[in-house]
Amino acid sequence: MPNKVIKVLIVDDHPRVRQGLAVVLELWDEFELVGEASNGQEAVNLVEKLQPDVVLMDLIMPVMDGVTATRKIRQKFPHVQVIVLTSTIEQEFVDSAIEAGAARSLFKNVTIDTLADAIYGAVSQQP
Amino acid sequence: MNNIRILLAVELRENRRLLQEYLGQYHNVVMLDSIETLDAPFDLGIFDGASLTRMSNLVRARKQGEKSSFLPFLLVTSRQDLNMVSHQLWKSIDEIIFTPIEKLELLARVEVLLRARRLSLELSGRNIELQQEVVAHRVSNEALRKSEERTKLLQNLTSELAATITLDEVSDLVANRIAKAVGGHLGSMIIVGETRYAGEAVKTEELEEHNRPQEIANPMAVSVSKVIRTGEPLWMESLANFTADFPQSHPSDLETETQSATILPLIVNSKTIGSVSFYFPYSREFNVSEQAFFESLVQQCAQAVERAQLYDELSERAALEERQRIARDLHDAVSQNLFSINMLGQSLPRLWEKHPERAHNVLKDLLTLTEASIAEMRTLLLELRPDNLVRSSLRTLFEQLISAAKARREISISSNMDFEQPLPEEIHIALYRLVQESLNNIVKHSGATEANISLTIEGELLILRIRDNGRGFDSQTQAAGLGIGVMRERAAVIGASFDVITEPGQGTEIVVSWVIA
Repeated sequence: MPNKVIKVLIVDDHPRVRQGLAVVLELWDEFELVGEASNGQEAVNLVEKLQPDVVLMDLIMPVMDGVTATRKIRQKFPHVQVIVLTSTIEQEFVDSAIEAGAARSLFKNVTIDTLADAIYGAVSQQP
Repeated sequence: MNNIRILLAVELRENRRLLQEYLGQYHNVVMLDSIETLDAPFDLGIFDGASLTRMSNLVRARKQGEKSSFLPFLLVTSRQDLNMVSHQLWKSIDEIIFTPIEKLELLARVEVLLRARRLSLELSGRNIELQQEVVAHRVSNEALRKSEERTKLLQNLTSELAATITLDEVSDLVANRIAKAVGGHLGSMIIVGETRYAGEAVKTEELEEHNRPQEIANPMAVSVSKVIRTGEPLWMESLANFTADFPQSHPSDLETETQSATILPLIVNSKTIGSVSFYFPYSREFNVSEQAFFESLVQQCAQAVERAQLYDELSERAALEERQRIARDLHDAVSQNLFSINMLGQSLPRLWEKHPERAHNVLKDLLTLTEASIAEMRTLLLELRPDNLVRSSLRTLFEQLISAAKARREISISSNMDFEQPLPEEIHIALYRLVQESLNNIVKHSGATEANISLTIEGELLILRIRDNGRGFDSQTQAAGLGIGVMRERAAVIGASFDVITEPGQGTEIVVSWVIA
């Protein structure tokens, strides 16, 4: 496992989801929560400002959805990895996010260890 | 020579000869002995005293027989014999000419009498024409009266059809009220392939079965299927029509006591979708006006059916949209909470080892989340069972909404209820929806940390207030997106006033006032 701190940005329009993910990130010393966004536009702005290593991205959000935000982030900041974390069962949304540049997609019944492994895995793909 | 006929009944030969010579140049002159009776047609009778005396009764009868026409009789006599003309005979004659006959005088008098005859015939003809016009006018008035009656009946039935909402209501109206109103003893409406309908519905494959000619088990069904297939009406004016069209059937196959029937296609959007039938306990003539009446009536039935089908579609769509909304709410609130509960639940064992104090706080959060999820589920269950909405008190409902709102974000919401009396159902539901919509806005858009809901009595008014300390909004430009318009309409429907007090940065207060009756 790499020792460097992995900066994580949480993007989800539900405050309770962000709260749950924040607690999970506390369990690993290597993960640092650098910010939270409630829609895709906020996410793009915060990525530019905070330069996280990994973004945990929801898909269905107001103002700007997760697929569009993923595409913009990956185009402007290719070193930032995006992991989609969604409860939508519509596969074409998930496929669109992967096409937009997301490293991985996870369904919201994931275990915390799988989530941590996904974050480590995304960082190892960084250029 | 013209068509005028002059009858000569003159016994004196010389007079007869002169009269025939003078008059024969201009008119048809007929001798008395050449006709069988005085009933033969003539326009002027010229008699001498002897003939007149002999035939006075016949002459009087002939004149009377002319009814409204004038049939002149001219007496040819000598001045000496004039005294012999009795009073009775005077009644039979219209003019006298004395012998010796002067030709010019004769012609003049004959001309006068014939002119009078012509005028009377013209008048008589005109009189007959007038009488015929009066009869025709009466017939026309009667037809007009019947036409007016049908128009009025059509208007009344159209109004009743316009008031129907569902297919069952249309069918019921056709089978009962309309059938009776048009003089029938039975009516029915059939729609092919329609399942949202308690009336008669014929499946398409059944329609095909009825077309097989060798199976006339139900001749009326065959007639109906023929009408639906061809889109052309059937007019059965008597049992004879029926037995002629269906020789293998028996009149008892018809509904009991039916003597005549009409079956018309039900046409919606240029497509025959079914039929309407009326059965009568007497033979009935379906003339042009009758046919036009029934066709207009069934057109109105078709429009009612179209409206009812649209209503059914809209109801189904509304139910579907409601189910989709509930599914969305389930996704939005409950499933997201459950994800968080899952994350916290998985994290707690490790967090307890790493940071026990932090774990203690997270455990509290977990409990709050769980309670909030239960509250949200209860709210959704209420939506799925609207009768529970009415049975629960407003205090219970508001508490549930508050718990559900807290499930979605960190916010302190208080309530004070000074009014707990039962309210009319529509008021109860409207107040619930207004609080629901307001809390939705507070959670999603206000950024508030505190909110309060109060239901109080001020004089005659029941006042609902929902306040928050959030960011407020510009009510001129942002109201639509926050559903303020919908809330205002909801208040208006129950006759309540609706006010929004807000400014950017100043929080928001919604006040709904309803006069307690």
